[in-house]
Amino acid sequence: MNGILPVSVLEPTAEQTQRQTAEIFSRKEKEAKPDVEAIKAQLREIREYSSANLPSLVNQFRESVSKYPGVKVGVAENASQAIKYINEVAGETKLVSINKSTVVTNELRSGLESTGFKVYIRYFKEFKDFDKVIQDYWQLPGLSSQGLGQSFEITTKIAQLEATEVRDYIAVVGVNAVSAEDGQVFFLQHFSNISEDLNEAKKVILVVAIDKIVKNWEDAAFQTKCNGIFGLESMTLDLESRVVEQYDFEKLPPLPQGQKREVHVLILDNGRSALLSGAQRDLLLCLGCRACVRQCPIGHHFVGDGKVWSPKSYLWSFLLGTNPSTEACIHCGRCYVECPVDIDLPTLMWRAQFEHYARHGRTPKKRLLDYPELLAELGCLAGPIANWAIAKPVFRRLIETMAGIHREAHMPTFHHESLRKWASKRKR
Amino acid sequence: MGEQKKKIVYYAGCFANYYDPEIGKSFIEVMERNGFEVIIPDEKCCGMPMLANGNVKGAAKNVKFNLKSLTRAASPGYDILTTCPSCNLMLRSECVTFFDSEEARFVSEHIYDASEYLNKLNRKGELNTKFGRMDLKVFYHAPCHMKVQDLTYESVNLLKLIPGLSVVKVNTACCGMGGSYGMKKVNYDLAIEIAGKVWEEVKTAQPDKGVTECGGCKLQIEAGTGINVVHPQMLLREAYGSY
Amino acid sequence: MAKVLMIDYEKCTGCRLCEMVCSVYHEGVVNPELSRIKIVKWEWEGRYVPMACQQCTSAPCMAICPVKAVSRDENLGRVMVDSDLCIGCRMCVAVCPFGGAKFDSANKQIIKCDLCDGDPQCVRFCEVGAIQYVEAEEVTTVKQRAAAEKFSGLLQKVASAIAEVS
Repeated sequence: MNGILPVSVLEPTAEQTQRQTAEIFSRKEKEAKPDVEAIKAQLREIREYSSANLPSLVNQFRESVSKYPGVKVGVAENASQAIKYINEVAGETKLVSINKSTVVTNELRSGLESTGFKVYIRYFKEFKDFDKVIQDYWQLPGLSSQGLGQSFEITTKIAQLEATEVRDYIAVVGVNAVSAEDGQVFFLQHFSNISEDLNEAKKVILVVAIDKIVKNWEDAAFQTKCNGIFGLESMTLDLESRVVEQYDFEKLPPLPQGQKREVHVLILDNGRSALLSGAQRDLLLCLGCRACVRQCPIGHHFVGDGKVWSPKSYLWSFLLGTNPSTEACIHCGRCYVECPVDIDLPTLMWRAQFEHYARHGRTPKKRLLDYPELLAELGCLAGPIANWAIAKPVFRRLIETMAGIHREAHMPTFHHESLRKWASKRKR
Repeated sequence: MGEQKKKIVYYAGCFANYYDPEIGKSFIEVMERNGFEVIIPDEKCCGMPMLANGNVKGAAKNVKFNLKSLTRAASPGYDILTTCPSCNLMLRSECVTFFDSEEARFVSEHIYDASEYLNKLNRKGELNTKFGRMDLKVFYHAPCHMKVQDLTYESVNLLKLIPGLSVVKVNTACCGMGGSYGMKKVNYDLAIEIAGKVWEEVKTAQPDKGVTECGGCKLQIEAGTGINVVHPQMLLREAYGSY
Repeated sequence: MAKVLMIDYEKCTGCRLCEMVCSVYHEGVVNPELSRIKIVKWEWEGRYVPMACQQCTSAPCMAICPVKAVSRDENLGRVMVDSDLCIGCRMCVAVCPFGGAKFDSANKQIIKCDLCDGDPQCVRFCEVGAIQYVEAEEVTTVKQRAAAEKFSGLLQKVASAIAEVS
């Protein structure tokens, strides 16, 4: 161990794809490209190993990373412990730059702000103002992940955290994957905010949620690649013109030469190991690619509240207690279709929803729709009168007040003779 | 020597039972024209809307009843067919997930969506393809519950067998109805926004009719476009009839 | 009819002159990293394949660009990136199946072949004619002719073989 923690950054590159396509053009025999199913299978193996060996991997990672003399290691059971640690590290400095990490943004940011930090997602400062054309999921081109297998490669190995210009702020960045075997850290970067933070911040805190720990560096690099491959289109939905409050870190004056920089690795649990024994255990398979966002019809309505949104994080924040309900979920199942590791999110959402009702009960208004078949039978019995009634605004207003059905919603019409009655008559 | 008629069991679901029996009548005729006798056992609501509403106990009761009735009816080895994608999903997956039993698994293994089943017959060369010509431009909307069961294109492939019928657009975006989700006051505005994409595509495609298997999707599309939306089984019946 | 770059990799010698002139023309310096055309090499096999943007009609880079900075110029049959609109997200770099778009991190801009506004420099300088700038139909005609020659040569051989036997 030569003392420097190896941090690798993966970015979108053209080289490998070029090489692979050139190979196909020039070889007389067509070699089969590794297809997306093979990528998913390999990914699934990595994730299953991680979740099956969670406690031992955490210990192994902690040991490996502690071997680097320049690195300080902290362990936080929950968000408040993490905030406490960051506070201690920060000292006087109250300016924090974070990347667009789901863990850091959703689980730590508000806590940091409430303890006096000014927190900015530097990611959004990276690009100039623009007119967002792709507003919602149906405008995504639906490009197959197939072509992206070679598109993300390691472009920077930050083995030296000796930078030319050090600025007086803290960088709290969430990782994509880490290797338990040798402590290597991996990031995926589309812009350049992560490498800038790693090179410039006086103190760097690498937040490692325990489900980001994988066996070795090859698995970690591969998993990070998959974040890029499967999360590509969802990322387009995140891009917001710089309406988000910004800070120009570039404008900070550089500190005098010979600054002592600090690198911390903060291992964060925050409810993850508790999943091991519960019904929501499959959530540990998640690699954080956010492919589930890609087709979620309610997705973009949650963007812009300062969090990084995905159906998974919607459920996760419910389990953590920071999101009061799961009722916005429409149960369409599209997130399941997108997930590269086949997490049955719809079923997990159902289970969480039932738990929600068991915990909070249900209003009488809600219970009115508990037996929809009964209502249908009554409607059929009332026949044409029922159909006449649901066309009248006065009755629709009544139904809206009592049962919560919008007065303008198209309701189905009741048929005077149910199918089964017709069928039984037919038999005779 | 009398020909032994093949039999299938039909789980109609509430939409076909109470709101649009023509779906069921069309389906029965289509199956009869393929030499099947259709058995309609006693049934209750599949329980999906009750589950979505949080009425787990009510859903469990219905599921118990349905599984018993369906296993009894299908026990000689008949397949179980549905015309509603949500009922299909409920009986195929959710029953096993939440109310697992031997009967749940039996039903799960024997259940098919109607279009899926007819395509299967076609692949075996057993489908009655005596379809009359129907000069019609249709817009097919794939319900989310078909997508999640990997049945997105079943009806499209089936409808392509009807001469003269052209599927001018296949839409796979969510319509926002989500059962009764989109009808509720709290969700209405959001549902309308989600439906907007589908409505726009209908307006661009200018079809003669809309086609979809899901009753909720049908209501949502009709709400925003005014076109008539039918179940694919109805088109098949019409095509058989005009041969 | 727009012209296209016709690349015959079998003629390419791997000299990389095209990369040099491309970077000089666009960037004013000799820097293969900033070249829009790239020679992919398999040195031991002596196989060299020039790769550049294919100017797709249904370009994935156009479809994915979140700010619609990528558009098609039908005049010259090329795909153009408007650097004023480009925000440098590199989606196009990731989705291009040919690796046709690259990111210049110094200037934070996308670089890709623009056919040098109708006078491609790589074509001018390629000694062996591995890259040519031809009408689109010509590409297939060249191949058809080559195949026809082989075929007629084959026919002649067969004819003379039959003649010998009989």
